[in-house]
Amino acid sequence: MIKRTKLFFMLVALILLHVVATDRVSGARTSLNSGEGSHQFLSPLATKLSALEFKGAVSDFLFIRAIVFAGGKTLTAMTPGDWTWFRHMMGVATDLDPYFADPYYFLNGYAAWQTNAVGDVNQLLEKGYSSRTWDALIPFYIGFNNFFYIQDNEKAAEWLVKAALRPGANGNYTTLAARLASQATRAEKAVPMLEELLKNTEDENVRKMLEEKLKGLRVQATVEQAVSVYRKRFGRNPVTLHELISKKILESIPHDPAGGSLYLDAKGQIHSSTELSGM
Amino acid sequence: MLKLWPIAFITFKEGIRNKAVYGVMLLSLFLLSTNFFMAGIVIKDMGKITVDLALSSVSLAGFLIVFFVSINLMAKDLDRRTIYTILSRPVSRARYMVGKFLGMVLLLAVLLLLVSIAALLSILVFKLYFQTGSERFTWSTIMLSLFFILLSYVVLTALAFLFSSFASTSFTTLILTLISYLIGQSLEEMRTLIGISQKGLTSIPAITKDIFAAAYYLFPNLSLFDLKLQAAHGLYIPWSYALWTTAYGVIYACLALAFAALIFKRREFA
Repeated sequence: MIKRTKLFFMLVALILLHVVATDRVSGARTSLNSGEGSHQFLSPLATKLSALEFKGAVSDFLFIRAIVFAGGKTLTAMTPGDWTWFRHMMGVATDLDPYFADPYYFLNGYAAWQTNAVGDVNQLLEKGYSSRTWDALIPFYIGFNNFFYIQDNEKAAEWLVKAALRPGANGNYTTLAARLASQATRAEKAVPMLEELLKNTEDENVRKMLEEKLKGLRVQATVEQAVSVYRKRFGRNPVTLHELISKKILESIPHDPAGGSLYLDAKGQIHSSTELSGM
Repeated sequence: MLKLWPIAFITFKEGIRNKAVYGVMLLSLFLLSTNFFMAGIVIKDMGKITVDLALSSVSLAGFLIVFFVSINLMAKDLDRRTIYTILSRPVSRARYMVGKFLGMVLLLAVLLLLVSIAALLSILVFKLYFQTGSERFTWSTIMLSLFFILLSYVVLTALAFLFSSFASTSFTTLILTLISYLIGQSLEEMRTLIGISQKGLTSIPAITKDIFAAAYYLFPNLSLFDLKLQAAHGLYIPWSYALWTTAYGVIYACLALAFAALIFKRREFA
């Protein structure tokens, strides 16, 4: 009887100790991984070899690991090192399974906006373009990046045409490509491009960011249009936004959606005390 | 032929009684159940992840069956010395081997069929539940991939038979089979690497190339049987590929088995 009671108490004590120990270690692992440079970089060849016949599943696992890491941090808290690792993981995941759609979409959705690594992103997207031969979105993304970040309209139009040639492609791509070659201002060209991108974005975080940028771009496009009308009429640039209203070209001064105040520079280009559209 | 089936059937029965079989089945079912958790994380390619995990579970089950059930089963007669009783009957050694091999193939086929049914159900449930409409996988490529998983483990079983025909313990057989599996899975990558080096992008010593060329004929190229990615993305697989790979697998297995029988015939039991 005594033996049994002893055993019972020992068991209870051990369970309590187990709870305490579990509690102690539950946060310990994250503190190990929080420092810069703690990310593991994998050799694509070694990963391919060690994944054996489970390349697809390992690719899923690596992708999900990177997504969980990026999702666990707020996007603004990601350091440049974090982003490098994120891009690297997407690269390895698509080396293992080049047909896997999500790494390309996440990479374009997150990494292209957040970092100055659009060249890297485009390189990875081109891998997706050559393997996912049925996919029209990837060439559209490359086109968008070329237009928006690299500011190479010719290349952007080329990629949009490639997107239009894909089976079941959206008819808008050719219109967008033609518009890139038109006389419209950059913001005017960017609005429909961004609208198209937004239509094809499902991730809530990225959608929110795109909507903000789109609001800014619409303001920019409206003012740029008004400035060009003013220039045609008076042969010079307006000095302030109020001039556009007094000449009845604009009805009212548009608001910066981010809450900043808008002003024109000497070339008649619109600026804001906040980042208006990121262009 | 008549004398083969009793041996095959006894082997099958013996295998199915092995407790490890239940472990393998449970593990595969557990893996399949993680499918929904994993598929929920991604946005675009949910179907791909489901098929990947379902087919990988079947592959893993095959791997575990060969390494933890079949190899033990092969060595059992030797370890328990029941081989003397069997060989004292009017059965030739070659027949005993082939019968035993057929029993293992039957065991592998039945167990993989069960896991495959669970895997297919998980894919079906996914399709009905998520209804994304964006998935590209096709049932025919999934079936073909399942068939090739079975074939790849039949080839590996034949190779394990070859090793067990001369190895003194089942552990040696296990290690040799494992090495062959690892080499077999990396042959394709190595081939790509050597292909790149021929274009002058990387340098690989000539001796490595010769060793590789020998290894390529000696070990089975198991990557050929791996059609999981093709199944998950619904990629086109030409008939000629399926036919030649099947022929390659069957010929390789027969060859390994023939060598095994030849060695086993000359083996002296102490």
